[in-house]
Amino acid sequence: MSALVEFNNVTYTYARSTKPAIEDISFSIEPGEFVALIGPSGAGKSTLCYCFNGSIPQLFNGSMSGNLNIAGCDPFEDDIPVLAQHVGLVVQNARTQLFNVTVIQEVGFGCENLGLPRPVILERVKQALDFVGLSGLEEREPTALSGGQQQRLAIACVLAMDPEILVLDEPTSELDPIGAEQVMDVIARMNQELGKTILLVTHDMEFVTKYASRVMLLNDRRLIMDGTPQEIFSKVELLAQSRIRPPQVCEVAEGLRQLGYRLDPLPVTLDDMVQSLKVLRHG
Amino acid sequence: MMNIDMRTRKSPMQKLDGRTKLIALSVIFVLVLLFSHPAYILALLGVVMVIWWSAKLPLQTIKDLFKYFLVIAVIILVVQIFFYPGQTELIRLSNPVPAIGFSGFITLEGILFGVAMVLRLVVIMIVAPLMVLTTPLPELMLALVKLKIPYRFAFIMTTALSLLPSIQSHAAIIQQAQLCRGITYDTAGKFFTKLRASVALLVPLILGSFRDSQTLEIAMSSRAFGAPVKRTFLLDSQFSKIDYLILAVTIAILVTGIVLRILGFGVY
Amino acid sequence: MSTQDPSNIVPPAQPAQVRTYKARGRIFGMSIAVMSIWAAMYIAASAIPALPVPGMAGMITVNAIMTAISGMVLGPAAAIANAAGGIVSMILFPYGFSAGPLGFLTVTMGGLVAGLLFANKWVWAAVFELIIIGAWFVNPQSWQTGMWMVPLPYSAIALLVILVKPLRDWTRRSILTQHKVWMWPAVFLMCTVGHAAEFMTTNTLVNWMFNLSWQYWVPTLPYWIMVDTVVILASTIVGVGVLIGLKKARLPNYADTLEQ
Ligand SMILES: Nc1ncnc2c1ncn2[C@@H]1O[C@H](COP(=O)(O)OP(=O)(O)O)[C@@H](O)[C@H]1O
Ligand SMILES: [Mg+2]
Repeated sequence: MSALVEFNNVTYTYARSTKPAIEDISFSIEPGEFVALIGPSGAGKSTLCYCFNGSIPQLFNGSMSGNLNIAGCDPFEDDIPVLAQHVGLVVQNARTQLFNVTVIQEVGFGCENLGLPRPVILERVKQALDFVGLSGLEEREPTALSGGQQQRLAIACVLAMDPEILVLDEPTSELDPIGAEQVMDVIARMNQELGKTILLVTHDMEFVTKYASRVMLLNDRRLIMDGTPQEIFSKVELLAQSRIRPPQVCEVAEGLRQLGYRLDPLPVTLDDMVQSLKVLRHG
Repeated sequence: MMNIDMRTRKSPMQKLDGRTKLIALSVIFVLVLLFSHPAYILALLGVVMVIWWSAKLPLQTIKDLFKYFLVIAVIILVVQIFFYPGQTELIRLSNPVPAIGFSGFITLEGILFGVAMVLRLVVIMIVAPLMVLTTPLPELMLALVKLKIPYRFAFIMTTALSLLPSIQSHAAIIQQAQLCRGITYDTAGKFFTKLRASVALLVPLILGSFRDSQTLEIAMSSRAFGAPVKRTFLLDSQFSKIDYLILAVTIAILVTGIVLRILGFGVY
Repeated sequence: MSTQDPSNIVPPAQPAQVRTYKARGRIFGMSIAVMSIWAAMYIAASAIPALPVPGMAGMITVNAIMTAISGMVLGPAAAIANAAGGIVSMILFPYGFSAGPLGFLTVTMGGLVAGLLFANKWVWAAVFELIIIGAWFVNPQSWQTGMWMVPLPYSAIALLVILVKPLRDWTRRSILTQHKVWMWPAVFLMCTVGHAAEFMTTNTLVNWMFNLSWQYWVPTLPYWIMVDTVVILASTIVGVGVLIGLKKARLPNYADTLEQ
């Protein structure tokens, strides 16, 4: 079985920049994975996201090297609308990606562009809105929704095009805790119930440990770590170099480890921690 | 902004296809430019008022609009009354003043022509709002696309309109910040104060808004904008019998109008 | 887990092939997104009502400034963006449009002529400028006493900038290189071209629609010259600020397209 997404030594430099924005990136993603992409701001996370559907290199002036394979498509050559049927990209700022007059038009926009028959579009719009919990708001103006609703709407918009892969660039960064929780719930269910492959850029390490099966750390243009949350969050020093603060549970656990407690694997959630401590105590 | 919620109003006008309204109102616009006789323009104004009434739109809107056009209306009236080269002398004011081209008297023709031009102004300025007050924007765009306006152009218009609230709140934030530095916007009438405020507002507004253009472009493309296939339109609208009827009448009126004009009627 | 799985790292046999890409899906070098945002700002500006006066470019203040600088910021695409913004604002806020439903033509022309000139398509710029001036003189009304003076103050200067090669080249170069000093007069000239195209179109439309005679146009001419000068000066200040800011922040602007 071949990987769904493959990056081989990908380097991209924006026009009039002296340094690449991402450099020598190689990794692959299997179908159904939930990958969290973390890293300080300016590391190149958004740039990497844009590579997934051909926005880079096609919408920018710049130069690129390496090889890419996204669900059998080549983002260097295939048109973005073709890639968009495989990859749903939700960009960083929810407000700027909503540009239709009503919610129903917003969600239908992608399918309209693809020229799907009307009944199909209406069905998909209904399903997508149901899935993100926005049914009943079809006739509202997107700008009149709350931040969390706007973000879920943005997800519904790409979900309606039924892509295998969803790339979400900091979907919760501007939300209140409840709104963020609702958005994360939608993302997790897309992975679990719909079997979508997820690449999530986030600064919230609690979400990462709770949902992701794999973490990639991007720092200063390069992919410096790639592994399970346990593996990544136990490298406290490397994380500190990248100005990433691991979840508090991990910091505590790592502290306990250094005191001689044998916590293996490293607990990354509170439940794990309780479990590990029970084991330590009784067994 | 004329804040009339289109969804709460149900009038015959709203049930028409957007194309019908667009064509009918364009014909009125053409006719009002074609004729310059006050009687003809008055008749057109009557038609527009009947449409306005049947669309159940408030007269207040017209009054509000007229406030802004009062200056032009007065200028037009005065210039025509005093300088239109008419024959029928009504009031003699003075000896002829050749230097300013004034014959010395006010003529019937001058008054009638002035009235005609003011009526023309009134028709022109209420025709466009009539369209938008009875047609939700998506329907208007659909009508434009169906009338073969390039989709991309219609898209720019709708998108601009939906980006409007965020631009306005952006502008409000800038103005708030500038208030602290003594730049105000509500000193009504002070031309230079307003101008200075505009300058101070525009630079940060344009730069800030352009910052979003990159993500907007990516978001559009990510939703298959510009795919080389025939686009579906969720919103659809078909001509009904009434649409055909109105179109037929409109075209008949247009043709009659053109014929009359060629025969020399309706010109002053 | 690894810092980079060693088996994944295959040393490139030859130096990696670097391909250079140019942005696709642009109209006159500008993206639909930028044009939409410009149009949206245009509509926002129209929400500020100003008194329309015949002979005065569409609206005083904000819109007039935006039109005057649009050509330098967006190139010929300014015509499209202005038209879209103009049509919507004219429908929503008809206050400022003394030319009625045709009002959008005025801002379209402002963007078109200046944008074409900035793109160095000066022949086309000249064609449209001559059409505008020509349309004024086609009206028999315009042959009355002194009416020939109306296009003189700014449209004549615009025509000079478009047609005289050294002046044209110097203007474009000073703006493109953002020369510290010469940029100011150059932007002033470019704003003159844009603003002149806008108000001359308005004049022509108003003249055709309402048959105002020379007794209106000629005595008010000094007043227009004054007001238009102020608008162009304000546009110059905004234009310089915007052009420098766009370049610094690497935001979309037509000069980039020319460099590529
Ligand atoms: N359009 C652009 N042109 C030039 N440089 C850019 C552009 N967009 C981003 N960059 C640069 O690329 C680098 C990575 O940016 P980005 O991918 O946005 O990082 P992140 O999303 O991790 O914050 C930054 O140094 C940024 O300045
Ligand atoms: Mg980012």
